[in-house]
Amino acid sequence: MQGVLGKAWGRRLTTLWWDWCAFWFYSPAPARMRLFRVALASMLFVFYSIRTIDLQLWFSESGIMPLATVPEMLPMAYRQSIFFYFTSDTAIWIGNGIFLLALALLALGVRPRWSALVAYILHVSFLHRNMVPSYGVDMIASFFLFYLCFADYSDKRKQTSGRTMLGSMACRLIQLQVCIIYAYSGLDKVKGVQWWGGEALWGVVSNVQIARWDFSFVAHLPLLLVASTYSTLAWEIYFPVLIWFKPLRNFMLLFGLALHFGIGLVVNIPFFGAIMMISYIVFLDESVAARVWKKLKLLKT
Amino acid sequence: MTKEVVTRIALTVFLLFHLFCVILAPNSLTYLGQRSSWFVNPYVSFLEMSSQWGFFAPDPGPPPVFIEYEAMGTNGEPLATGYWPEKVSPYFLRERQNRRIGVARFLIATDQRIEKAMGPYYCKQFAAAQSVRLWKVVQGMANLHEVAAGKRTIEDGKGTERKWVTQYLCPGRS
Repeated sequence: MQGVLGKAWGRRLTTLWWDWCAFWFYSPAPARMRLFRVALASMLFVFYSIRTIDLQLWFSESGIMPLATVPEMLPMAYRQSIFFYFTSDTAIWIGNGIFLLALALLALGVRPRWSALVAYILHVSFLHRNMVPSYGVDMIASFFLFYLCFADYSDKRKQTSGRTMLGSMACRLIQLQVCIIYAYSGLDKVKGVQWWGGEALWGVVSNVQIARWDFSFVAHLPLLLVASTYSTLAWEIYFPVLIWFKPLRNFMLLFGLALHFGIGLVVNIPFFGAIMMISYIVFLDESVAARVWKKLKLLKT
Repeated sequence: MTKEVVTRIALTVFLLFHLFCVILAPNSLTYLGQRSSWFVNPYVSFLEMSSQWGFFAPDPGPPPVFIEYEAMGTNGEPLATGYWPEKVSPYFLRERQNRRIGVARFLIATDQRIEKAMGPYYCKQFAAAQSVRLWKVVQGMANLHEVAAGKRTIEDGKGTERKWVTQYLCPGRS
């Protein structure tokens, strides 16, 4: 390489390649991934247990979206589902049972990569069977379950082993995914007139279908409204950049926690806040995560 | 080349492809997005990684939406009326209502969607129904300045629009 490009460029490219490898493949995060796995799988177990109550309504032929209606309503090209082939109610109940079991095993750390794979396949199968009642949490779960199929949780393996490299990559992918979510969410808001005008949060709190309580009093607190709107906007847009600067990381995460607690207080979507806050675990210092994990294990014993 | 080097190269190829797809997918209407859709779409659709991530964006909304139904009997008498979703959540676990709101928001976009999903559904729900009449209801939202001036409250529901969708005939019952 150095012969063709010259020594200086060769050195630069070699350094770049090693930085790339160090970032993606040699940053093992077993403690963070263990904490993330337990928190995410537990939350999803509860979330999808609630969905189970309406399983027939969403996925059965007697429900709101019989199989024949699906392609008339949604673009289904390249989307596959086990439930396109096993359409009976029994198959849907069995599939849901296995899905919940896989999430429980994932939370408990029993064959975690296989559990994640089974959970992911069934999760996508349910989504594709009827995507209409799905929302943000379901979409984010797709990514996180997929990445957990690569995760590694062992402290003892050699850093150069393939599994450790995959595990490191899984953690980085989750981090990058969180950045992508916030970047798009923030930049998309910039297009909105209400976000520019500083009144967007009024559009949220005054929507009686999603707001938790009557927030009429907010109309008399214009400074709070504008400050909350602009700080949300600025934080979402800058999160993907500032989270990588160590001195600012804790501030960014604490602001995120406050933001999602705030959203949870105002809007009735607690699981959305929960999955985003759980994703912050992968941004913790590995040593902090290891200490937390140790304490949790002591609590268990 | 050692096994480690091969692994690194293979994973790098996967990463570049995957990141290109998941970064581009939410913005797929761009020129680059359209030119690369032949390989991005199959990948993100198959793995269900095609989300747009536009939470409360570009503006929060839509306003509260409902689908109103009236199941009609043999002689045109109303058997049952109601809303999808119900105006006040009847569920102890509020999460159940959230999915119903999501469904209403999706269906309200076109009359065809409402007819295809809700017509057959309510025919199944009410075995004696000959037909189901459907309306879409978009509840008015209180303007910030009007609430601040004391002219309106958030929950007054003024400006609500109710539009006729269709009368769906239950198959095999007429």
